[in-house]
This record gives sequence, C-alpha cells and structure tokens, in this order.
Amino acid sequence: MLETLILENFKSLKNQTFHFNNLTLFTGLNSMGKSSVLQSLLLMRQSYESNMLPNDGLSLVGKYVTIGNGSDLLFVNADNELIKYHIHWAASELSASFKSIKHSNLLPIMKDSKFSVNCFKESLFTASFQYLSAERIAPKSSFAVSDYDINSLNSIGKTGEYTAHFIAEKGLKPLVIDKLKHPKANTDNLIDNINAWMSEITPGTRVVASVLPDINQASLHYMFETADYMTKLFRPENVGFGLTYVLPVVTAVLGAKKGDLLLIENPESHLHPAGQSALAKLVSIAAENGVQLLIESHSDHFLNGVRIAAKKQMISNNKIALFYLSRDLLSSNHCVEVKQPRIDSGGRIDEWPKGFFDEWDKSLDELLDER
Amino acid sequence: MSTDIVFNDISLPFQDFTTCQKNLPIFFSLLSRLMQEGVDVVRIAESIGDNWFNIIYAENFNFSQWFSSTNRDFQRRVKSIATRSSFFKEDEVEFYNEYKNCDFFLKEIKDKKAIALGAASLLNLFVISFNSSTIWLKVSIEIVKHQMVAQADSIMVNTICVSNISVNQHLQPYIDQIKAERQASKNYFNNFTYENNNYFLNLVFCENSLKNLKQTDIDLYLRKKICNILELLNSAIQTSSNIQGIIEHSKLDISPESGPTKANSRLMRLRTFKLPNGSNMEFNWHVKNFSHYQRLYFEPDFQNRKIYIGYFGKHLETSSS
Repeated sequence: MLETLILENFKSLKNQTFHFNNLTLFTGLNSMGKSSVLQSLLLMRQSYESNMLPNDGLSLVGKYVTIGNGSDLLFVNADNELIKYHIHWAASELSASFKSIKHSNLLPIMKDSKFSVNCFKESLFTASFQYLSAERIAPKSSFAVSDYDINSLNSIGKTGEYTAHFIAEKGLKPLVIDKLKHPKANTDNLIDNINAWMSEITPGTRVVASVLPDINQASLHYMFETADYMTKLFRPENVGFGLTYVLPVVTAVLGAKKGDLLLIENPESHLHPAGQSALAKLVSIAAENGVQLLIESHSDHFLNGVRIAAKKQMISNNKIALFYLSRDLLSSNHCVEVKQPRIDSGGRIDEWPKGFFDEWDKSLDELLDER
Repeated sequence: MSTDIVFNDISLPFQDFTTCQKNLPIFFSLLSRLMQEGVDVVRIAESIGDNWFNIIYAENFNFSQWFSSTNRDFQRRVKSIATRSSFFKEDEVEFYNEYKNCDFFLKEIKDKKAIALGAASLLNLFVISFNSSTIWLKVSIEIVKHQMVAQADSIMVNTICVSNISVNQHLQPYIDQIKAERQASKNYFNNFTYENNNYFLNLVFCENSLKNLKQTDIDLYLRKKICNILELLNSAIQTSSNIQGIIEHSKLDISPESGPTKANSRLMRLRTFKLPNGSNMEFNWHVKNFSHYQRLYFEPDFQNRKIYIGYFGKHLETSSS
C-alpha cells in the first residue's frame, strides 16, 4: 500500500506530508491543491511508463496529466528550484528530486535521488493501477476498444473510454473480491454485480455491452426492469447522463483486486444524492478488502456514505483518511493548509474546519434564524 | 483544534412545556452557530450522556415526539448538530486534579451546586445555558467556590464570575473574541523560528511543529497551555541528564510510545519529522497534558541541552488505535 507521500515545492504545496490509508478522501474548495496530490502520483507513473524514470526525469506532459513547464509545477514562493518527492510503501520507498526548468516540460532528475529495488513493482507503476479523471467519457452508443488496456493493464482508460469493452469482455468473470458482491446480485459475475450496484443509482438498471468487431468498437445500452418485464434497449444518450458517467467508477471498483491502487476524481459527478451515498458504500467495502483508493470529492453525500459505512462496519474507521485543503487568505504565502478530520467508529467526525462541508448548516441558519 | 464551551446542565429542566418548546430552537440555533465557528460543547457530569436527544428538557416532555412535530429544516439542523459534533467529556487531567478539591455553588440560589459552572471557571471557558430562567439570561453568572486547603486544614471561599451564552445577543461578542484570540495566536506563533525563540532558547522547532503552531485555530486558552508546557520543557532540559529528570522537573505527564507502535514502521513514520538541518528524526516522547487527546511530541538532546519539538496536534495513530 502507498503509505506516505511527501512533496516539496510542488504547485501550491510548499512542504507537505500525506499519510494515506486504504480509503483516502481529499476535499476542499476549488483550486486548493486536491488535484495536485493526485497529479504528483500521475506524473511519477507517466514518467515511468515513458521510460523517463528512474534515470532521466519527470515528464510534465503525458498520458495521464499535462502540467505545462517547470514554472507551472514549482511552488510560487519556493526558495530553491528543486521539486522533491518522498514516497513510502510498506516495503519500499523512493526519494527523488527534480530541477525545475522554467520553459521545459521534462525536469531532469538529480543525482541524489534514490529508488529502492522493488519500488517500481508497487501498484503505482504496474497494471494494478487505475486512474479515472473528473472529465469522463460522455454517453454515446459506441466506444473505443483496446485489448492492450483492458487485458494487459486491466484498465478502462482515464476517462472510462474502454468501460464498454471491459464489461463486454470480462462481464461473465467472477468478482475477485467476493465481499463486493451486492446482496441482490444473482451471481458473483462482474456484470450481475454492476447491474445490482447500478440499480442502487437507478432502480432496475441492466447494462448491456458488446464488442462490434467489424467496426472495432464496443456498444453500450441499458434496459430497465419493470414489475413483469424488461424494457427494450436504450441508447446511453437516451437515459440519464449520470448512469454512463458513473459506470466507469462502478466497473473499476468491482473489477479491482486486493493491492490495486485506484485514483478517482469526483466519482459523484452527475449522480443524485442517494446514488452518491451508495457509491461511497461500494468504495468503502473495496477499501476494507484491500483495494487502495485515493478519491477527490466535493460531495457531502459521498462523505456521509463513508461515515455510514464506518458506522455499519463495512470499513474500519482506521482505514479511512480525510484531508481538507484550504488556504489562509491572511497569509502572504500562496500555501495550502492541510487538516485531517478523523472519522470514529460511530461515523462521527472529530473536527469540522471552516468550509469543510458546512454549507448545509450555513444555509439552514439563514433559512431558520431571524434576519 | 477547537475551542471548548461548557454545557451548563443546571439550566435544565425547563419549568413548563411552553417555555421549553419556545426556547429549544434558540438553543439549537446557538449550537449551530458555535459549531460552525469550531466550538465544541463539553460536558462535565458523566450522567448527561452524549446525545442531545436523550436529555431531559422538562418533566414529562418527550423530546422525540416534539421533534417530529417540528418543521423539516429545524429537524435537519438538530440532526446535523447531533451527528456532527461530539459532545465531549472534558478529559484534561490537570483540571480534574484541581476540580476534585473544590465545590461550587450558585450564588443566587443557596446550596444549589454548580459543577459545570465551576469547571468552566477552572478551565477559563464560557458556558452555554438553556434560557430556562432569568438567572441564565445574564451574560455573567456568579458562583461561589469552596476549595479545600490541605495544609491549613481549612476551606477557602471566593466568588467567581463565569461568562454565559444563552441568547443570540451573547453570541456575537463571544465569536468576535475567539476569532481575535485565534488571530493573536497565529500572529504570536508566526514569529517563531526553528531556534532562538524568546523564553524557549533550549527548544528547537521542526518545520512540522511550526506549521502545527501557526494554524488558524489556536485560542487563548490553548496558546497559554502550549506556552506553559514549552516553558517547562525548556527549563527542565537545562538541569536534566535523562528523561526521568525532565519528567520530575517539568511535572508533565510524559510517555514514550509502546513497543508495538515502535515496531511498526508505518506508525513510526507518522512520528518522523525533519529537523532544521534537513535530517529526519523519530519522535517517541510525548506530553499528554492537553484536552481532547492532543499531544506534543519531543526528543531531548541531553548532550547539547536541547529539546526538539516535532509535532503538536491530534493523538497520532498507535498500534492499539
């Protein structure tokens, strides 16, 4: 498991340590640095995939993320030009420094960088990794296929573009983590469980995916269960946007195995509140069973879903880490302040920093109290 | 880090249903505003319990029944309070050492015990009261403190005022005050550097601990507490050659980590902080004289008569967490 990340001079993070857990949730106002944490890991992965690591440097433009040049990455008030990483796993670690070059998108690695023997066998660098960006693929009838991605990388793509292909090919395979089996799923097959979990979002949903070899595409449709029959097939464009938008998230989590690392931005996008809460429970069960998830979210429903999961012992509260990122506007440093509220076994949170999911209460104050 | 306010339990019960029903919304409005300012309500008497739904507000008053008849927005507010805020039991050891030698009475009503008000006076905190009688409408409540003086085998009696919040008019000055206190703390700690800080010349602060101290939410009470503990450590290292000496000189509640925690590399990484010279050090010793299980981690350097301060904040995860 990825245990600790220490970043120095990385975007708005001057010098910040993050101790991760099975389920790590990043929250905060927009533009506070939540995505920066995930980006730091994605930069490492894309640099390794493009053979820039461990010998050459950090590639700021690539498959997962595009940052720009060295000046875009360096902390604005940095007192030197080195961007430093320290990453610890249970049995390996790396410590790497990169020189920020103002107009270059490849930052050379410094000689004092160290990589333990096995660090590139960690999930961050292997096929046990999945990243789903905030911008996922929109509903359409046919999707790209990639045997390499779904089979060699076990990936559905960073926008979920291979989700239909993945389901078509692997839908009948059993879940690797049997605890993810939904109580209402008839079998432990991936497709039955995708249907059952998707039905928490839209009741009675059936996902139908198939490969169209002639045009090298995968098709996706939905059916819906009624009291006594199944509806006809509907194209994704003709059902709720949220269904197709969340399908990659549900598929990635259900397709995961112990030891996998999933980075997911805004899993709750376009979902109604109950769907967001249900998704949080699914994620919590996966985390409890050895999948590591780093999630960025703005959703109090998602947070509450995790709290309920902790209370119902779907996940141990000791396997959850929360980070709330904010900035002190009175400080002259453009530097992020990080707080770590904790969830107890009853689902309660020990501190509520200002701005941390307090909008409901503020609104109620305005509605209830005298002017 | 939060600011505490003590729940004045003797402001309950209400004398009648009507007053109770009229004033409960006011109280929950106050709670909601306090909660959003990072204020935690602490309770002194164990018997109060930790759930606002189970408190006896008035004789034969069924809170749940009344609650279900209120409007949905109000219900959401109360549920939010009940599920968000921990209704802490005060846990500061030093406070209890003094508290157990004292009795507190309400000045206005003879022989009426005022335990929570007394605790608030010792902790230098405000109380929050239900508006159940004219006594609790006051912004300041007088109590009489009886303290056992062991050496003289006598009781010392004095009158103390405790600041009170029970209506909206009391609230804003309090919020303004804690905001000012927090900003003053931030300004104070912003002047701290790694070394050579006034009054703490034997202490070396790691970047991590400086970051902890420069947070925006340390109130006056906590700042005084932190400074007092830093002064005690600063003084103790000057005359101590081992950890026992520091414990004896400072009279602080100091513990090492347990064996299983020390044996866990992940947990020890939580206690590893960078020193000003760039090297990393594992911090093992911690001071426990704070409320809400906060801890201050330090490591002594007896040879150079220095103490490194690594961390201040929430109790770090241990093997038994």
